[in-house]
Amino acid sequence: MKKIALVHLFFKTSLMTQLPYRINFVTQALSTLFYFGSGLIGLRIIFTHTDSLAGWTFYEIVTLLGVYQLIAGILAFFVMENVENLPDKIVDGHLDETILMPENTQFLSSFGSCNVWAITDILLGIGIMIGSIFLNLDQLTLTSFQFIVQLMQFFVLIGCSLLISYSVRMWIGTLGFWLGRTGGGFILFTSIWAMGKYPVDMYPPFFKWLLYTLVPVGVVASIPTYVLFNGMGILPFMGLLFLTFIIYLFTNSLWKMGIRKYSSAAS
Amino acid sequence: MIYVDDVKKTYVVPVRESGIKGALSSFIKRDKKEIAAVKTISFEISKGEIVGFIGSNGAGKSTTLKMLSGILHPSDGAISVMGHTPYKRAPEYLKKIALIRGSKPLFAPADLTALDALQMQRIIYDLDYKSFTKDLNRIVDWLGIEPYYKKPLRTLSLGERMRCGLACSIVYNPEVLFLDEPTIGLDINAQSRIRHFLNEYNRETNATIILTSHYMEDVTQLCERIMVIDQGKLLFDGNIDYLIESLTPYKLIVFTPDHGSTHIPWDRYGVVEHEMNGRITIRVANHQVPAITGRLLSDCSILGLTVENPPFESTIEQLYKAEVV
Repeated sequence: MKKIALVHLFFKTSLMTQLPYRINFVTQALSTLFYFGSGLIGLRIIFTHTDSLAGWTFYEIVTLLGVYQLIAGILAFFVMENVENLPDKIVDGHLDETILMPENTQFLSSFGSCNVWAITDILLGIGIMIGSIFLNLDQLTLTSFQFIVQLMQFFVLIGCSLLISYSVRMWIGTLGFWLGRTGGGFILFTSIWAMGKYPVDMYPPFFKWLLYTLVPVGVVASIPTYVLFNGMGILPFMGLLFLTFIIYLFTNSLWKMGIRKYSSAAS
Repeated sequence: MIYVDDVKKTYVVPVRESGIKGALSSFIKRDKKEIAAVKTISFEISKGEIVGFIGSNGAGKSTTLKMLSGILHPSDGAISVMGHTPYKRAPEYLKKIALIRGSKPLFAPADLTALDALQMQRIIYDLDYKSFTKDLNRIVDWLGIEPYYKKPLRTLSLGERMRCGLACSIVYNPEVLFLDEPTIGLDINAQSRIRHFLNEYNRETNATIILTSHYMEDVTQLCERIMVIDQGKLLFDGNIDYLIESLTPYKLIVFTPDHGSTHIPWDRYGVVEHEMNGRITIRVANHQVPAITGRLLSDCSILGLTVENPPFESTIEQLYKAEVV
């Protein structure tokens, strides 16, 4: 309950600090539209020559783009800026105030401030998802029971995607306790992460393996979208939940080990 | 209350030579060096004490405060504050302490107001809404921040920010205050207000206060007990008057003779320290002060006379020279 109150508080304070800078809203909205629009145009061109790409239809890939945008938006809204600032805060000794607050330090370091203008990504992502579900009702409603199961699995897997994406970024940030300024890791990860806005199945085998394992971008957007349209067996579904849980536990342990190394450089 | 037993703190820091050559060689091979910021210190502090922690830059004051508050793990030894081990950072412990830095008194974003920052504290420290509102009015009056606590923090002066920082810290009634140079950069008036407030807070709540400062006024006006740290070692721990008595066993007699007495050789009364604008300062051994003062007043025509302690800085200087008291 306190954590929800704190996230609400961080949102409110971020809103208070960011609302006066309206131009940022315009640039963020334009950037969201441009990013999504360019992806859509590229797809349209490809689909004038084919009906499917690695087994995915045009609408399925547009939905995937929407899911990708939604996940990227939620992360950018709540945690991205905080996690990406972590290495500098660690090196410059700016975690002192956070450490002395009577609340989980990993939570406070992840949610300190919100990028409220990332709401444009979230809204666009939700819009595309809803639109896609309605446009594809005939494909989705084999039986209403199956439809509900697929929808539930989809939302649970979106939750897993958020946790996994947060965790991988947090690993890069936390490595700052040992390696110093690890900001370059975020640039590398973001470049690979961008590959997740298309179906991972269309990449060559090595990249496919990489995107399902070491940098699990494939798990992040492709799998939830696939599950929305095709469903998933109970065993692989439970396996994904278990994998997410392990990744999350590892993230927590890495943070706890790192915080012990903190040397508070500033006086 | 606070027990520090044989505590050490060493840091491993990257080192490199200056210039592009140094940067290139550190890119290929990184050299590291171990630095002992604190080399075995032990002390105890009772509830309600105000203790001044003084020493030159890099002496280990801030590192000790960070270990006491829980930011840093000691490399060796044990620390207990109110029965808690600080580095475990139990929420119950963190709710009883506050670390306030003069260089950065507020953690809240600069676009927020002090009132917003206080509201943040209410949630973070689980404060009951009713008692928070009551305490808030009292604290606003107490610290005199009413004229500006609803303005964005970025528009406040350093002194105003410091008072708002204190408000944010005492709003949850901490039992121990760790103050790292609380008056740094403040003008004389602002310094005096902060000192006055700290004295009152200690008197009203019986809170324990440990402060570091480079301003001797902070220490002499607030603390009966001081700890002097140098190169990570405790040089002195005890009563401030005792330190002055033992290291600088003399007083300064400052007087202004009238024009008829200017020819008198003042070194016959004591060592002449200053002679400026008709004001003369002579150094006299403590036990001779009454006799010399009497002689001065009977021999010459004196317009004004005061007896002062030597500046505290010179006592500390003596201490560094003597190494151990």
